[in-house]
This record gives sequence, C-alpha cells and structure tokens, in this order.
Amino acid sequence: MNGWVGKILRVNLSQSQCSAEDLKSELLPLYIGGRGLAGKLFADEVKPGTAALSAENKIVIMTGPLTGTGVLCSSGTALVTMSPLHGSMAISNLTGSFGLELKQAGFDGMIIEGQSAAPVVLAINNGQVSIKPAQDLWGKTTWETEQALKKQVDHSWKADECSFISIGPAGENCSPVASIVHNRFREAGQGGIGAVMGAKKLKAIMVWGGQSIGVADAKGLRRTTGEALEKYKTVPVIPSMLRNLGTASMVKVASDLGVLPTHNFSTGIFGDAEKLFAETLARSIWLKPKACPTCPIACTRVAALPGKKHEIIEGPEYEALVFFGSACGISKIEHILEAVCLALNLGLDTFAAGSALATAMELKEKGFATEKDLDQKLAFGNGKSMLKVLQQMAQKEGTGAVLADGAAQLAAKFGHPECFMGVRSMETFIADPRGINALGLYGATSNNGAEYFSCLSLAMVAYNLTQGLDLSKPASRSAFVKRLQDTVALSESLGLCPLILLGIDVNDIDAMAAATLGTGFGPDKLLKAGERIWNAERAYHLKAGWKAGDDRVPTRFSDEPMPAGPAKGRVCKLDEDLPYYYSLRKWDANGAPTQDILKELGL
Amino acid sequence: MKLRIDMEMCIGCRRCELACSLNHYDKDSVNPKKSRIRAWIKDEKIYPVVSGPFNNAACTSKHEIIINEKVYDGCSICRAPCPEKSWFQEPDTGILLKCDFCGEPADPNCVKWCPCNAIVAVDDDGEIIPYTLAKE
Repeated sequence: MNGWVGKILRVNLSQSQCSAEDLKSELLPLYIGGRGLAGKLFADEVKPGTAALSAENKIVIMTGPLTGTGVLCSSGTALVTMSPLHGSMAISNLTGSFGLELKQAGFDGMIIEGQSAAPVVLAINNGQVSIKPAQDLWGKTTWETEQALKKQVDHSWKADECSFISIGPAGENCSPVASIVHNRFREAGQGGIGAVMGAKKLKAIMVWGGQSIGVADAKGLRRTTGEALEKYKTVPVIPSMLRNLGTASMVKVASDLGVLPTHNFSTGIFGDAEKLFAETLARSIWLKPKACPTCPIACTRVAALPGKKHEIIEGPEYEALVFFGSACGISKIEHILEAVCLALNLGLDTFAAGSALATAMELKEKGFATEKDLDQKLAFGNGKSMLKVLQQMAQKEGTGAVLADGAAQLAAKFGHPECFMGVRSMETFIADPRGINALGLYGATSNNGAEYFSCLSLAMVAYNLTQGLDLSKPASRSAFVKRLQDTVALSESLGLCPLILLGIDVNDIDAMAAATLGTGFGPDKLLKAGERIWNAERAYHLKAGWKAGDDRVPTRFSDEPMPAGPAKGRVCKLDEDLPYYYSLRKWDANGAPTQDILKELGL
Repeated sequence: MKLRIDMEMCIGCRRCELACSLNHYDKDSVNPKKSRIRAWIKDEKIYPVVSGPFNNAACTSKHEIIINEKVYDGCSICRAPCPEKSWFQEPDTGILLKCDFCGEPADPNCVKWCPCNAIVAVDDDGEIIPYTLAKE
C-alpha cells in the first residue's frame, strides 16, 4: 500500500487487550482518512447520547494517507471522541511527530475503547503493543510523565525519537476543558478530550516505529512538492511571515484590524498590544523558527525563557498570547509564558482555560460575581492571580473549582450566560467577529469550535486570499466560509495541516496526493469529500442534540457595536449570512442537511 | 563536493530524512529511521547531522564519552555511525547507513528538499553548487 499503512489498532482497556484490524478500504474513497475516517468510525461505533466519561465512549485517533510522507505540511493526526463539554463529537487535529511515528509503527490509527480499572500507559513499539500499569505516573504533570517514560526506553537516543501523548491532573480529574499534550508543547483536545482519557485511566500513549511508508511515484512526488514549494515562495507575505514571525505575527494583524480579543471580547483593541507583537518577542525571547515534521513553513518558535536562558520552550502561539494575554488584560510576557507552560503541564486547553479566566474577570468587573465567589485578586491585568487560579483549575480547588467546568458553565452559574463568548459551550472566536463577519459565520456553524488553525482564516481575510470572493457581501462571504470549512475538513482528512492552504490550492494538493498514493482523487472529488465529511459531522451533531437555533454568535457580537478602534461601530451580521449559507449547503431552514444533499454526498 | 550544514538555520522539519530515504530503496517509500541524514531534536534543540564516512570515532564508545580527557554526558553531533547510539542503522537489518551523496554523479536529495538552505552542497572552494527540486 502507498500512503495508508492498512491497519488499525484496537485497544480495549476494560479487557486489557489489543488487536490489529484491517483498514476498511471501501471507506477510503469517501472519507479518505484522518478527520473524515475517524468521524465515520466514531459515528458507526458510538451512538449520539453516549456519556463522554463512560466506558462506552471511544477515542478514535487517525492519521491521513499523506501523514508522514514527503507531501508538504503532512504531520496531521485527527482525534475524535464524545465531548464532555458539549455532548457531541469532539474533533481535533494534532500536528507533530505522533502521526508519523504511529504509521512507522505499522498503524494508520487506533480505536481506544472501554475503561481501565487502574491507571495505564499504552506503549507501541514498532508493531508490538502493550498496556502497562502506570499508577506511579498518576498525578504527574504531562512533562513529568514524558520524562519518566523516556527513562524507561532502553536506548536514550531512541527515547528522543519516541512520540508521546499524555494527560495531566486536569484530565485525570475529568475537567471538560482538559486537553491532551504531545511532546510537551503541542495540544489537542478542544471539547475535553483529556477528560475522556482521564475517565479511561489512560495516562499516556507512547509510540516508536521503524517501518517504511509506501510512496507510489517518487519522481512524481519530488516534482509536485518542488512545484508546490516554488508556489510558496511567490505567495505574498503569509508563508514568509509565519516563518519569520510565527503564528504570533497574527497579533499585530488582529490589532491593526481592531479585532484583537481584549478583556473577554469587550473590545478589539488592547492598549499594551505591542508588548505581545511577534516583532517584540523576536527581539526578546525568540531564538529561531521551528517546524512540525515535513513542513516547510515553520510557524512555531524556539524560545528561551526570560532569565532562564537554558530553558528552551516552543512558542508562544497566537492563541496563548491572546487568551492568556489581551483577553485577560495581561501584557507581561513572563506571565503569559508561565501560564502557557502551566497549562501544558496541567493538561488544560489553553484556549478554554484562558477563556474561563477572562470570563471570570469580566463577571467580577461587572459585579456579577463577588470576592466571596471568586478569588479577590482575580481581575483583568492581574497576572499573578491568573496564574494562581489556573493552577487551581486542574485540581478543582478554590476559585479554580468554579472555573474548572469551563467558561460557559461559569457564566451560566452566575446568571449571565451572555458573558460567555463562544458557541455551544466551546471557545470559537480567535478574533472579534464584529470586525470580520466571515469569522462570525465560520464560528457559528463550526463543527468543532475554533480550529486551532483559525489564524488561517484571519490571515486569509486580512491578506485577501479569498479566491476573488468579496467578503463584504453576504452571498460571497457565505461561499468563502463554506469552501474554507470543506477544504479544512478535507486537508485534515488527508493528514495535512490546514495552514498548507495559505500557499497552495486543492489542485496542488491533488497532484501531490496522486504521486504519493498512486491514484488521484481529482480536485473535484477531494472537495466533494470535504463537503461530505462536513455534512456527516453536522448530521451526527444534530442527532446528538445540536440545534440550528444555536448557530449563533454571542449577542455582544450581533447587538453591541464595537466600542473603539478600526472596527468601531460595527456588529457581526450573522443573520444576513445564514440564509445564504444554509442555501449553499443545501440545508433546510432548520439547518439540517436535506435529503438532496445527503443523497448527493452518498450519506 | 561536500555537504555543509548551518545548524542555526535548521528548522527541524526533517524533510531531509524523507528525501534521503525516498531515494535509496527499491520500493519507493519514506522512512526517517533509514535516512543517512537526521535532524535530531533533543529538548527543543535541533542538531542536523549527516552520517559521515566510517572512521574511528574519538569517543570511547561508552555511555560516558571522553574526548581529549574531557568527559561528556552524551554526544549530540557526532557523525560517525555508532554502535552505541545506532542513529544511522537500519532498524530491521542493523545495516549501518552512510551518506553516498545520492550516487554518482552526486545528486544530494537532502539539499533539494531543504526549505531553508540549512544544508547546501559546496565545492572545494566553498562555493555553493545549487541543487533544487524544480530541476527534476
């Protein structure tokens, strides 16, 4: 086989048994792999309504056929499970070495089911799989866990090659905003995937593999990737900006547009924004760009902690700078870095944790919560208090216990749900949609909250990479969002990082896929697959209780004009867009896929 | 011809590992563990290394590395294929891996695939000899 490996690992934690299954080849032309295949397998095996923390829930981890091959930006691995946060399918994309290593170990993906009685670690060593007791690791942070597991590998050089996924105390305590952490600095888990692993008492997964991944046509792969790389060099600004300034480069972009989330989205401009600009960090803490395996963009950084020159970290990324930064009124980079490292160690989703903190700060500022309810010092701009409460969140102690269920629950608890700035209990907006309506529509109709590559949409909008679509008009804006959603779903099903879309299009992707796999899908079929996958997810969500009526942006965005800055006076006009969007998607007025589109897509 | 690596330029994308393995086996495939060049990543630091010609390595081949009477706790950038560290050794056969410049005439694929010119080919005067994928 080329691209795909052909085998899936099934791990039953209740019976402590592992088995290998064949990849169902009949599903591949329709669902491809990665996000699409993971969603399909999950939907077939886990009924809507299944409790997320029960033994009946499953975690599906799936690489794409292009993961780990020579195709650009191909380190993607999808994770799907039932979300304890919003009660339906949680979909996440993880980039890094995990997918590569899993394929080299002989598996396209894995399905984790059941529940272990005691904490365990899943170890996959080049096709040999074992479930090992891990009581001694329970309670440890993610970084401590990886460190301890590395020591157990027989060769120190091999330990550095191993790829890890682990949960921290937040996941162990089943917090619905717990994430999984990969090789210390990467996270997946919007929707509380960490909690599901915690409920299954699966502390960590470690993988090492030495097997080859087949390629159909090496010459063709070299030619098509060469052409794609040349294209990257000609695209104005974005790829080089990400290489030179990282995802943090989007902070200035958002700031210039007046859409930088500030004080829990009360406004779009932050007085101290410059302290968070990539340009500032480049002068102070950054050492060099760093890439995920296979990727030529290199959108992350290697940095040295201030005052601790020997301590090298990755990042910080846009989301961290915003959600531990401007959204909480924090401009001291030391506090933000400490918050990021703390969140990673504890296994708390950066975006959700930062959002919960910002929401708490707003509740206090407006007097909706008092000092009795929430730590007396918790306030916009107080970094020390932010760090203290963040730590508490993982252990469900003190004020942290009130925040540990996430921002939506927090706002509701104090009787002010309008202070939660997301959709369906999930953090969704990485920039203020009052200034960029397209982001409002994308978020309101998203199947998985904010894509972590949502700075992709911000970048596309800011630099007019909209393939000629006029974002000021509802019809073309809706077309842009639909197409972007489908292409992101498609990319994550192939095993690609969606940031690839900043430099090349579906035609280029299809060419590289054809060279790798031996058979092309054809660009139209690829787009169709993306649309199919999006609709399949939507159909599952609706069965699980999602309602089209919840395709909304928070009322602050639709009803309260932006108070200041370049986007002053504007609101998010979602109501203008939705009819066009539903029509383009061939959904009915209730936001449900019609029989027509389901038939067209073979669903 | 020599290969020159600028460690600071390396972004750790490991495309060189894919390029090398893709160019060396009968069945077209990629396998970083069978590559003659590795972008080694340890504690967020990146060490790109090409597997050099066989030679008597300067270390004592023990876990404690002693070079010129100085003791090191691990070698990160040694190019010699090492039985202790086995970086450059096929996982299935144990065959030691050695860079062959992708054949005669030289056609270094790692240079072609590197997206940031961290590895370049140079002649004896240190002048860069260009190799790019676009020329395929």
